[in-house]
Amino acid sequence: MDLTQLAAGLAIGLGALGPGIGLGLGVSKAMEALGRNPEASGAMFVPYVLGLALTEAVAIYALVIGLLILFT
Amino acid sequence: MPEEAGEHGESLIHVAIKAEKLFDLGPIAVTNSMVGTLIATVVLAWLAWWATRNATVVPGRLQGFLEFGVDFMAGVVRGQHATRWRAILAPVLTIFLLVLFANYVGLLPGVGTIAVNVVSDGHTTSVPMIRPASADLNFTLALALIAFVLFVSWGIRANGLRGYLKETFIANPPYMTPLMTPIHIVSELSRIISLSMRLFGNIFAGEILLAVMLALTFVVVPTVFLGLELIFGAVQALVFALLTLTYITLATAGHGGGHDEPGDTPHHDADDAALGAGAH
Amino acid sequence: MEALIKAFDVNITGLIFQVINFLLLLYLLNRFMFKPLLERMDERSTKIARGLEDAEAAARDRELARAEREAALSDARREAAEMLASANKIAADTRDEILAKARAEAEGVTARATEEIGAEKERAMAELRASVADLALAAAGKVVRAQMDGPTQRRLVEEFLAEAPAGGRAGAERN
Repeated sequence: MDLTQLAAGLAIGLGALGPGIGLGLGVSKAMEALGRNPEASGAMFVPYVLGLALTEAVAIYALVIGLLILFT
Repeated sequence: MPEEAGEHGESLIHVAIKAEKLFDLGPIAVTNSMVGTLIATVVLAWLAWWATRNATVVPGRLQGFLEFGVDFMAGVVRGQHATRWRAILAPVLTIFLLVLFANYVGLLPGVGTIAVNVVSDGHTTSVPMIRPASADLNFTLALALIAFVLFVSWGIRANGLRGYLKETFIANPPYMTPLMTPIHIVSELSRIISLSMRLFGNIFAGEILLAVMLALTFVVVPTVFLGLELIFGAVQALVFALLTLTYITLATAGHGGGHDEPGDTPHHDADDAALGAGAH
Repeated sequence: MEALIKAFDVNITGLIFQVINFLLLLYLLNRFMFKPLLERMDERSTKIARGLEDAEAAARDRELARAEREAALSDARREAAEMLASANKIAADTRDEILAKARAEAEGVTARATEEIGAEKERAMAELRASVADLALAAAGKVVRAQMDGPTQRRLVEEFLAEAPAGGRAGAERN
């Protein structure tokens, strides 16, 4: 067991923590909004997907950093 | 992946973060991700030709399906660019389709598992013959650069070169320029990184996930993740295209408020646009 | 950055290949997919719009025709009612006229009949008066003649009596 691997694991693991919570919050609010106003689903879709993608990007950065630690 | 990785004895799973060279074609080193790109391109071009070679007013199934996609994207683009939507639609839609097909190439059976032996530096390694293009940073970075060129050129076209430069390099109010301009430039450039890294990370992680699941579990579990990857592939393609569109919208919108606050994270612009994208 | 580029093997060949590939695909898709599809979709939407317009016009026409028909129908109904009313009025008038005429005629007939009856009566009375005088004269003559013999006289009286009732009754009626 190398410390590099531990670092990579920690990087993606901790890095996924925040985006996980963020995605949960975002989806929960979106579902709430959808429940209140189902007709708005069309207007909601694009901002919803973009918001999720931007939140998720943080986890992806963590993944990239993890991969960098692992492979360099 | 697992079987050919096994013979190296390093790990059960073959993970390559970069595309691997298959052979040299003159000065060009042909990598396995280029093969994946070409497959996606050829399939897409053939589909475009085949589906519309006799496009009718009353659409058939395939035409109807393609029209649904084109119409959705056209609706989104038209919602934000009432006059120049046709010129913006083509590259955005091409990005979407190319990314989508490049992602899906990774889900085809045989991709990543069919290997060829490559001689390099004297010793032979076995390399997967096809690598999904999106799992190669060259592909995603190239698309991100194209997106960058797109939104910069649209910004220049909308505001004029002077207007665009003023917009980019001089803050409002002017005395904030020393603080704001670096942030703004970093923000613009970081879009390239974030666009390319997001797509690369998602698809690469998906590939690793599939490989791990294939190595660790039985038949049913990888199938579930395959379905999941099907969704992610489409979502990431959509995200890439929509973000490109959003950046173009921001560039053409000219002097809007909203990003004058110092200390903003580079993503604030995109966030604003994301929240406002559907509202127009 | 160096490490990043090295780790991900970003190279100019790959980038240029991908960019060229993208531009080629952009041209192909635009030429073979977006253009025809958008054209067809435009065509369809104009066609549908025209169809909707036509349908609307047809509905308008139908509505118009219906209104016209209804108007014609109500006109006809009103006319019929008017006609009926006027016919009724005419009939009533005619009836009244005929009745009045009949009444007048009947009155005329009655009056004439009364008059005739009166004239007849006068004449009958005059005749009666004459015949009574004759009878009286005849009776007187017979009385005169019967004075010659008794049986004869007697027979005469009986004869007279046998003849008398008509004249006598007539005379009694008159009184």
